[in-house]
Amino acid sequence: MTQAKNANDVIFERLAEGLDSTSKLTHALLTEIRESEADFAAIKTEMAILKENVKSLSVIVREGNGAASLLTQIALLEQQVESIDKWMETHVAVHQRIKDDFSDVKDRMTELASRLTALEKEVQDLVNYIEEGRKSEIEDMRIDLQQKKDLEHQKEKSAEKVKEERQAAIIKFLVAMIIALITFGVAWSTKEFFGG
Amino acid sequence: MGLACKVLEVEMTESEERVYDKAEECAQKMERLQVLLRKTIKNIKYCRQECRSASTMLGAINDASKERQ
Repeated sequence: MTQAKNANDVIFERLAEGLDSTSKLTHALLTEIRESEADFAAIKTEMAILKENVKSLSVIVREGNGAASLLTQIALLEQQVESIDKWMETHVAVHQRIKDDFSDVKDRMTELASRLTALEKEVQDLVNYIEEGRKSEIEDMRIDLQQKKDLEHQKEKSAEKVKEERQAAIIKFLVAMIIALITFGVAWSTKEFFGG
Repeated sequence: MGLACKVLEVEMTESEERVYDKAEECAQKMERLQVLLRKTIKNIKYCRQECRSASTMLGAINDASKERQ
């Protein structure tokens, strides 16, 4: 009987401890729940603000904010994109042809540019050749002119020499004539003087 | 012989044994309840933390929205 009583005490002590521990845990749980109320209130406030914002956004999307609604604008955009799509489909061939033509023109332009470069080189060579020809021609003319000048100068010199020789001959003749006359005069005078 | 008699190694009457068995069952249930309470407290703490970060994020979103308006 005493053993049973002791067991009874043990069991009830264990139960009392368990209840005590459970009570503490429940108390802690209650504290947590009470404290979480503030957090939930904060999130509730933020959610309410968000709700208002979403509501105003929804109004803008559905009814617009002074302009046409976003839905209408999106529908218009869709229509425009569709028409652009169609236009693209219709004009893709034209675009491709233009692209090909452009590519062809580009190739030809490159070819023309290379030909033009070659032609430019040839023209430059021709210009150089003509310039060289002209230079040599001018040089020949200059030499020719110089030769003519030299010849003329020689002619003038020889003419001058001839002239000088003639003048010298005339002077000699005149001197001879004067001497002859003087001699004749002297002879004449002497003859008359001696009674001739 | 019941569970209580085996644990306590005493002899009891049938009614006493039923009481002890019930008490033992009660203790086990209480232990399970305590485990559940601990888990609940842990979950509530996690929930509060998430709630706080969500609240901060919502606050930032609302502030940005207010600035745009």
